Amino acid sequence: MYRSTLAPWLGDRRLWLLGVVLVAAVALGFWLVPDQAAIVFVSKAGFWFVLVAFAIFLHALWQTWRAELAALTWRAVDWPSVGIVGLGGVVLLVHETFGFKIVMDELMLLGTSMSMHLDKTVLVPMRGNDIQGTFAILDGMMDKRPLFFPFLVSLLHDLTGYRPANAFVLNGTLTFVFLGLVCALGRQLAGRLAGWLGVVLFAGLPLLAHNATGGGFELLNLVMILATLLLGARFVEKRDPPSLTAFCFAALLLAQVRYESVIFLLPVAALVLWGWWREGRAVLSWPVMLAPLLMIHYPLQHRIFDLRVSAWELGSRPGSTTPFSTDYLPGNLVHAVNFFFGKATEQPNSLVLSILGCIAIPFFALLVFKRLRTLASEPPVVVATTLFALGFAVQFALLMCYFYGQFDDIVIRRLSLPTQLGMVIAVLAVLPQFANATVVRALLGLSLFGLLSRSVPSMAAHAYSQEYLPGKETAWRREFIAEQPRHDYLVIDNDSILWIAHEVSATPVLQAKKNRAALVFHMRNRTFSDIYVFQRFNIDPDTGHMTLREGDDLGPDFVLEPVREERLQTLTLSRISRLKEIRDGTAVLTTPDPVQHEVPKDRAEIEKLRAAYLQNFVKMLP
Amino acid sequence: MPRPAALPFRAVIRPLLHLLRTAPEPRRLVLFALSAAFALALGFAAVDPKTAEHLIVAWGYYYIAGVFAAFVVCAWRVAAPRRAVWLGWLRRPGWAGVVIALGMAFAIWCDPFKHKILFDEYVLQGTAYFMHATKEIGTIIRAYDIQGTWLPIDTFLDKRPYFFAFLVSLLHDLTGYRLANMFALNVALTPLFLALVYWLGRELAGRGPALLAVGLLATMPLLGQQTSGAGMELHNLTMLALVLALAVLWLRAPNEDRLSTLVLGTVLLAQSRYESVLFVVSTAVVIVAGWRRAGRVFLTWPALAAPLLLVPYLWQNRVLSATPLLWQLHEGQTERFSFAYLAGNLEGAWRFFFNFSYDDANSWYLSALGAAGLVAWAAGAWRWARDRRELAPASVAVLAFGAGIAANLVLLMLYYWSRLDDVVAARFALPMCLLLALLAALFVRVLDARGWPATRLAAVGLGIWALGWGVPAAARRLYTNQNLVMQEVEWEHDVLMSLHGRVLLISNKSTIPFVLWHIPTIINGVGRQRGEQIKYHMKEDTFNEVIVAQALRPTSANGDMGVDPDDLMPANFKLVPIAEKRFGARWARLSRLVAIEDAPIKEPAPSPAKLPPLATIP
Repeated sequence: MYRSTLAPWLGDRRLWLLGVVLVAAVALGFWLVPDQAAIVFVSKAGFWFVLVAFAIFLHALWQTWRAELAALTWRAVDWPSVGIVGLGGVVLLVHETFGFKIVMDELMLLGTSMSMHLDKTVLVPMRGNDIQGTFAILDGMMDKRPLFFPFLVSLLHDLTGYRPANAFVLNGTLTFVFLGLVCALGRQLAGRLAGWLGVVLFAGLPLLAHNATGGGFELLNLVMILATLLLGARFVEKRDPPSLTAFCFAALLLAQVRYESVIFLLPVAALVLWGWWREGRAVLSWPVMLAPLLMIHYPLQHRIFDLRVSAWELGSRPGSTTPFSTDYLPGNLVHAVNFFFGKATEQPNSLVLSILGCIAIPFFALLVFKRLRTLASEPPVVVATTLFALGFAVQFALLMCYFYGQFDDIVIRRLSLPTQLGMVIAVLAVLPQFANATVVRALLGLSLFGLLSRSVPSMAAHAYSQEYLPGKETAWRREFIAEQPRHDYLVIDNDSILWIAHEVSATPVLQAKKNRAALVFHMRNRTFSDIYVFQRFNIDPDTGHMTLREGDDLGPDFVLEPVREERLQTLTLSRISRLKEIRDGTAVLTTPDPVQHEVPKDRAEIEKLRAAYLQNFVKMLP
Repeated sequence: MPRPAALPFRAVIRPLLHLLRTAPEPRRLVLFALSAAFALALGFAAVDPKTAEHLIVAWGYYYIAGVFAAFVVCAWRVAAPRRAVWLGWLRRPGWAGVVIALGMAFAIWCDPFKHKILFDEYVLQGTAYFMHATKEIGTIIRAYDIQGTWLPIDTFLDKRPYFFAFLVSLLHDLTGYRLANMFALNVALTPLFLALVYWLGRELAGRGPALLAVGLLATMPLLGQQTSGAGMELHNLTMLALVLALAVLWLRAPNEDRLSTLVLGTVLLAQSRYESVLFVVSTAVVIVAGWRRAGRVFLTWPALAAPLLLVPYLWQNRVLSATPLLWQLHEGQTERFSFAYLAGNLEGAWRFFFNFSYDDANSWYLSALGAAGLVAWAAGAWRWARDRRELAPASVAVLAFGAGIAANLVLLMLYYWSRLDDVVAARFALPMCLLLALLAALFVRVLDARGWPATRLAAVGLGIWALGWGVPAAARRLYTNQNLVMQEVEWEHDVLMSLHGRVLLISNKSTIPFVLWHIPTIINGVGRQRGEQIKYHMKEDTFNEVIVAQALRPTSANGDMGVDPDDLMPANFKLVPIAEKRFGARWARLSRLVAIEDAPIKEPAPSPAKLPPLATIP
């Protein structure tokens, strides 16, 4: 019996081909390529893999939506919903200042987008200098973060020119896209008002506002989860190759936004198989058959975790020995509760969303179990939501088992966003069970009240981010960069990537100490208009005594003159100083060259000396 | 089948002679011959270079204004009857409009608005300013604020044709003087140029290939560099494309208005760049081909006057030939054109057209597709030689002007400063790039006709090239940013603007940029000799500050810098450095002249062989 049922499937050569491609991709991604070669390969080819996947995704979207777009008229657009999405987006964007909120994550993403823009390689620039009139990247390293977000930022650089603020432009745009998708999903699940409810719930989430005005990949992750879910629903409805291609490539790109988003490939695979089963045949397209090969850079990039033990950042949580363990679960759940129900001054949460979500989740779980039995008779969006619920649950479980999965931690709380999306979907999915428009209206009113009375004041004050000093210091240093008329100075700072991403020469403190002779050379020869040093002092609350942060001390030979300082927190002082001179004991090594040397009259000789100097100059660059 | 040697006679000369014999107005032919003879005599013999220079300075503005006005009138007479056609394009531009707009946006964004070619672009601006202010032709090299008026003191007649400078001066006339008008003109020319490329490509190969040609040119960084620059290259290119389009219109339906427009357009093209005068021959060939199609020879008044209208060009060329200082030859060079330059220039051209790095502003993809198009064209020409069916108007025009562009390239290969891989000379390749784009369109059309999806594949290839090579090259802009002297000039300007009161600059580069910024400037060679006068004005407080610009050079691998010998000031000039900045492997220094002591030590005059170029002499 099974043989007769499986016969048409086994006879489908395309499925065999897909199997071969899958095996080849797994072999290439996990076994056949050595670690170092893998990193080099991703560095050189990563951009192009993402580009091909993105181009196929856009083409598939065009193919599957072409007819609807052609028939679309201005009158058919739901303008009130567009207005609500617009308003919601504005609320999220106007209360916080645009800036890099999570250091170094967002700066590393920016750095990768910079190298993708400049030469289509995947590297974070670590050394860069103006040598012959243009800022040139001299060295870089591969980052562990997936590539889709920096790829999109690099496309913005390509189209409009390089500027760090393009990351904010992208996130600002994605905010409206995300709210639009929430509205569309809510509308499909429970009607127009439910769509509005979803938008208002998210517009009232300060954590979303914090990320919408940042340079990270959280917004893109949310957009891609929702887009994949909605395209899954479309595939269930259409079950044709264009909708399958759009769905699969959305999932492929989603997996390349955040590390753990690869989990959503599980519901995607389940949905595809379910669609095939319903269709009685394997719906396939050439791009989908080749899709596994377009993912091989993902496991190859993941080798960084094997090559660099520090990539897991286990040291940031003393006592943690393994990245994932069920031992972390109880503690992380407590932290999650702290986040969802914490004070507005401490956590960028939304009480309305947390309460409604927590109420809805048990009902939604029951609903999922009930619907799994009657899936064939359910509407496409319900099928997709039901299977994606599995993805949200696994993702939450994984984070709760992560050593750094404390949702109330200032750096980690952004990881709760997919969970909060799952909570809103639970609310929207449960709503039709009440079959009463009054309930939806009441919830909408409650959400609006929560937005105005708690969320907007919370966003406006953003007290929840005030304790995050690295973010404030980043903003402070960006102000300094913006005030300088030219980028012809060098900065000694352990966060050198921040400066390099803004096309300012920079080197870490350790390197500066190691390359003291090179700095002497450059100071004598006026290579840089100035050399600045960024340092942080910790202040003793009892004595007021200031001590330099570990790793910021250049030593007594480096004579500094403070240029600007600010107490960005009560017990810290951030300072930018000018490096006045470098000494060796009492002897000053950096007295400027007095310009008394005689230059030969012969132009050829001048050119020869210039070339010799330039060669030495490049060797001496920090 | 006729022997190949007999082909030109049977195909061209015999029918032409027949047409001339049967011309309806033979008197006009005689008049044209007289006009040509008179122009030759006037251009080459009757007027000496010095007189020619005076005539151009005094009357050149009115000459170019007259030709331009006549061209506008004739062009309107051609366009007016076809109003419905071009209004339809403007109202419903469709995909062509989208591609042209995107191409324009990319070209404008891929390079910052700044002067790219020193000091050519400043010289053009100086000429435009003088045309605007005095309606004479000259470039200001010395000017002072005298009783509130910025008064030019010294000017010289530049070697560059002045149609572009005239258009900029018109913009100054209409909107007020500002340096940015030059950029505005180039930006305005960009969509016009891309639209002309689209139109020509469509005439030659159809809609899809035409869009490809637009994309190929728009994504080439060299076009972006010129779009956002202040040079005359984009203007020359637009004029070339415009005259080419006028040639197609003429061949389609030869009539008096189209002839006049074509002729006047060609005269203006000749005044757009030095070597563009070559296209006069291309136009002549096209006019003859048009007469053949019309079955009659006819000449309009502008056509009769055309040889005389080219006389100012000849005069200016003779002034240039008689003034070796304007040639800007490098050390050791004695001739502008020589076969000795050929090998190096050919190597440079190959390196430019097929450069795969991000250093040059080229597009190897355009070169490759264009080269393939050349092969396709050669194969087509071979087939045509056998059946000799009548060619389409666009094919004839592209053939004639393609030959002109090839001749232009050959001429450049014999020129002393035409290595196309030199960032300063790369712009000379633009006419060839236009031809390559049209040939590329032809190439994909040929393959499309054989059932291959060539246009689509070429478009995908263009996308990959643009992302993989075009955008990274534009992002680095080495071809623009490595112009360190430009950066020095900008830095010096910034420092001078930060000073208070009236400043006199003693420059080690050129006076022209600073004069355009209304900063009184003299060159350091003059400064060295005019110590007494400077001292007088320092005493009289004419200037609040006298600033001296000097270059510092390394004397060893460790630096050990010293002042460039060309920039040394006499020992009695007491200087206090106020700003220094590194540019590559040299430094620029600005010092305040605090005193000129008595009993100056006599400095030896610079040797005549080391005189700086004229553009740098006040």
